Amino acid sequence: MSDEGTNQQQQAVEEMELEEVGEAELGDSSDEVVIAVAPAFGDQGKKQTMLGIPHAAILREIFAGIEEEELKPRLIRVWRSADLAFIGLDAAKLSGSGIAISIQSRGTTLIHQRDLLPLTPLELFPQAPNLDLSAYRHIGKNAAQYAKGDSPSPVPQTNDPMSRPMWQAIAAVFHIREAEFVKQEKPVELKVNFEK
Amino acid sequence: MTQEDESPERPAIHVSLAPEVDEHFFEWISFGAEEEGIPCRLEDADESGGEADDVAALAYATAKNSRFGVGVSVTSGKVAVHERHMPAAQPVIVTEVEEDYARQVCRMAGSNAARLVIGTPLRLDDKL
Amino acid sequence: MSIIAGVDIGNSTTEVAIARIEDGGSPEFLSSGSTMTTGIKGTAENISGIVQVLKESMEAASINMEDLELVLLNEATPVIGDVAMETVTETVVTESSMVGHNPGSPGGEGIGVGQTTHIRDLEDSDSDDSLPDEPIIVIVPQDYDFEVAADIITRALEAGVEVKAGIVQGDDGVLIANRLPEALPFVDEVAHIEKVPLDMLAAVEVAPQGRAVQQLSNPYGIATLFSLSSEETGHVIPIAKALIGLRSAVVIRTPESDVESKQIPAGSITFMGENQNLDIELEAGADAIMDTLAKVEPLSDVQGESGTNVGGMIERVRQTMADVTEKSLEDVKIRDVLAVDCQVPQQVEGGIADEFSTETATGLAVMVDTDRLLMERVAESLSEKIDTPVELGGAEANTAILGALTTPGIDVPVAIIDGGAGSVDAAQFQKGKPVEHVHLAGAGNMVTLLIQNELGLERFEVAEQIKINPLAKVESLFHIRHEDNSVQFFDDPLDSGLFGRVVLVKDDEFIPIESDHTLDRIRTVRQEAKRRVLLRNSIRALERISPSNNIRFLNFVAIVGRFGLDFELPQMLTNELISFDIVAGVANVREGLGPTNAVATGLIINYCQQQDEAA
Repeated sequence: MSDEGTNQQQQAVEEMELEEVGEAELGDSSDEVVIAVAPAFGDQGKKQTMLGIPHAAILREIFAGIEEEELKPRLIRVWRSADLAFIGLDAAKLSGSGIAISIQSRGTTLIHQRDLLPLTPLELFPQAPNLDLSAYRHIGKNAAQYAKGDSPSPVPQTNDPMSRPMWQAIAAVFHIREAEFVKQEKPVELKVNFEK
Repeated sequence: MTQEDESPERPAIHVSLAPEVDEHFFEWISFGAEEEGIPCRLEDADESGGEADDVAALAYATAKNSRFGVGVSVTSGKVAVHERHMPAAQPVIVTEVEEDYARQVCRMAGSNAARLVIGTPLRLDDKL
Repeated sequence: MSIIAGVDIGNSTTEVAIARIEDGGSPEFLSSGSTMTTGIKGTAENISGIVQVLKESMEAASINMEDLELVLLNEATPVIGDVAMETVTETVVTESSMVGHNPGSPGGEGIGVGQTTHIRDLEDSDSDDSLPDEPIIVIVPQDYDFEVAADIITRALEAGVEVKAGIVQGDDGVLIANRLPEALPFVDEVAHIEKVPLDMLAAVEVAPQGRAVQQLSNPYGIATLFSLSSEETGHVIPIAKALIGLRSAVVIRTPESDVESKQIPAGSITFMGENQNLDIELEAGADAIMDTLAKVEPLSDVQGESGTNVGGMIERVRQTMADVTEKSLEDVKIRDVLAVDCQVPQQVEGGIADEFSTETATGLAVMVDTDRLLMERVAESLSEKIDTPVELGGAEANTAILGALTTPGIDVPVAIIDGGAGSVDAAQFQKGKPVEHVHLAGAGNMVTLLIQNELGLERFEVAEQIKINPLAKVESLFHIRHEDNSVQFFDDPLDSGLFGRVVLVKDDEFIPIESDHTLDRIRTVRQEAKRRVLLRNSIRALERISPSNNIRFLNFVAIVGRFGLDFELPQMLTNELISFDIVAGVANVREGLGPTNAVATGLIINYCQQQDEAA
C-alpha cells in the first residue's frame, strides 16, 4: 500500500516453523487473544499471501500488536473449515478473553468475539490486497484492546474498487487450495519459531 | 420468571446438583439470581462432567459450560460458586450448607453468581 | 574537618542529612535518612525517632555515632492549623412522608398511586366485601415470603382489587414483580417498613434501568399525582430535591405532613484586622467570607458569634490549639482562615429508608502561631540523649530554600512551595534580599475533611487514604482498570471481596472503599478538593511573597516536602503555573533525593555559610 509498508516487509521475518503441540483447549487466562490460522496457512501451503507478504511476517506483526498492549497471544489452527468467520468464532470460544483473530492463507482477517453470530464479527478485513504489515499490527492491537474491555476505533481500511476485479480470480484459487486442506479434526495448539 | 428455555447456548448461570441433592436447591439458587435479573439453567449431572462428590470440581465444570462462565454446584453439605478463569480447585465462594439455612445460603450463592456476571460487589456477609 | 547532621522534624516524617565539612569548604554529603515522626511534632516523643534515623544514617556513612560533632535541628514552621465543618442547611421530615433510595434491584417500572394497604388486608380475598375498593399500594413486610406475597397479590388482582404498586421490606422487589400477571413497580429494601403509615395516599415510582425517577423528583409531578394546590406544591420542594437522581422512590401524603428545608442559624464571623473589624455571615458562602478577609488583612484575630455554630467551631479550634501549644486561650490568635463551600450528603431526619439529602456546608481552616520554645525543648533533650551538641539551625523557610537550590537546573530568584497537614508554606529568595515567607491556613487536613464530608465517609482515615492513593475498579477476578483507564491483569485471582469494587492502589495492595460512589465521583471529589484548597492556597501564597504581589515576577518555583510527594498535585501545580510563564516543578534535592530532605540539607549548607561569614 505505502512505501513504509514495503520497507517493513523487507526487514521482517520471512520464515517460521510451526509445531503442533496437542489439541487446543479452552483458555483460562482472561488476558489472552487467540490467533487462529486456516488449514493451509504457513507450512502447509505457499507460506505467503496473494500479495506476497510472508505468513511469518504477518503473524509476527499480530503477535507484536497484542504484546504491545501487554496481553498474551496464543496460536491455534482450526482444521474443520476454510471459512474465516467459523474459524474466528471457534477460536473465540476457546479464548480466555473471548476474543480471537482468524487469518486465511490469502491474508484475509477478522476479529471475533465468543458471543457474536458467526457472520457478524467485531471487525472484518475482507480485502487482503489492501492490508499491509502495519495494518496487521493494528489488528493485533485492536483485538487486545477488545479483550481488555476497551472500545478501540476500528482499524482504518482502504476500499479499492479495482482490487476486486484484479484479485478475484487469484483469491478464488487461494480459497480452493485452503479448502483442500480442511479435515474434520479438532483445533490444534501451535508453537511458532520465527526464523530470520 | 424461571427461564424455561433450556437451549444450552442461551447465556445463563449454570447450576449442577450432585445426584443426592434435592431439586429445590436449584430453585433457591435461581431466586437469588432472578432478583439480580440473570437467568439460571439446571444442568444434568452427567452433562457437567465433573466429579459429583467434589463441589469445586463440579462447579468448575459447570462454569465452563456456561456462556457467562459462571457456575454454581451443590453437593451434600456444600454450595460453590465458580468462574471459568479460576483455578479448578479454588471456587470464588464455597459455603457450608446447614439444614436450617439451606434456602438463604442457596439464594445468596445465586445472587453472588449473578453479581459475578453483572460486575457488582459480592455479598460475603450473611445479610440477605 | 568535622561530621555534622541536619535533622528536620516534620508532622509526618523526620529526615536526616549527614555531611563532612572542611574548614572554609563546602559540605560533602555522606548519607540521608528518613523515618516516621514519633509523637506530635515538637514534643519529647520525637527523640526516639530522631535517634533511630540518626543511627541508621551514620551507619550508612560508615561513621561511629561518637564522631558526630553537631546536630542541627529545624525551627518548626511557626504555625499550626485545624479544620472544622458545619452544614448550613438541613432537611427535616416532621411526618414520615417519603421513601427515596437506590436499592440494587427494584422490581418492575412505572408509577402507581393509591392508598397504602398492608398485605394482610388482601389475604382474605374470599369475602369480597372486606377487600379494598379503591386503588392501593401494597405494603409487604419481610415475614411474607416473596412467593406467598406474589400469590396473595395475584389473587387480589384477580378479585378486582386495583393494586397499583408495592413497597417491600426485603430484597424481593424483582422476584415479586416477576410473578404478577401485570407489570407493577415495586420499591424494595425499605428497612423501616413499619414506619410507613397505612391508609394514606402514596405514589411509587421505579425508573427504567439506567434512569432516575422523573415524576417524584419534580415538584409539579408530585403536585399532579396528589392534586396539590400551589401553596402545597411549595412544601414538597424539599422532597423532590431529596429524590433527584434515585432509581426508585415513594412519596406518602400524610395530613400533617410538613417537610421543610430550614436554615440553621450559622452565625457570623468577625475578622479583626490591624486597621478595621468586619463581620460576615457564614451563610454568605466561602467567596464572601474570603473577600471580607482580604479587606481586613493583615489579620490579628478572628471571633465567632457566640451561641451559634460558627462560634462553637472557632472556639473548638482555639481550644485544640491552646492544648497543643500550651498557651492560654486568649493568647491563641488566629492568623489566617480559609473558607471552602461543599455539598455534603446528610441523612434526612425522619426518613424511612435512611434517605440522604445533599446539603450545603462550609468548611473552615484556621491557623495560629506557635513559638520557638517547643523545638528548643526537643533540642535540649536530644542533646542529653545522644551526648552531642544540638543547635536550632535557622528558620525553616531559609533552610528549605537552600536545600531546594541544590536541584539541577534551578537558580535565583526562586520560590518554594511546601505544605503539610495544617498550612501551605511558601518562601521566596532573591540575591541580596532577605527570604520572604508566608504561611496560609488550609492544607492536607482540609482536603481530607472535604473528601470525607462530600463522600459522606464515616472515618477520617479512609478519606486520608483516598487523598494519597490513586483509584482503580476491579472489573473481573483477574483484572483491574486504573483511574487513567489502563488495564492490569493478574495471573492469580484477586480476593473475591474486591470484585466489582472501587479500590485504592497502595503499592501492590488494593484497599476496597466501602461506599457506593463510582470511581469517577470519588476521583472528581478528590481532585476538586485539592484544587480548591492546595492549588488555590499555593497561588495565594505565591502572590503574597512575589515582588509587587505579581506571580509573573518569579522565575523558578520548586515544590518540596509532602506536596512534592503527592501523586497528582505537582502536575496540577505545574499546569497551573505554566500560564504565568514560570518554571515550576518538583525539586530534586542534591540531584537525587527528589522533594525530600530539603530542610535537612539546607540546615547543613546554612551552617557552612555562617561559618564562612564568621571566618
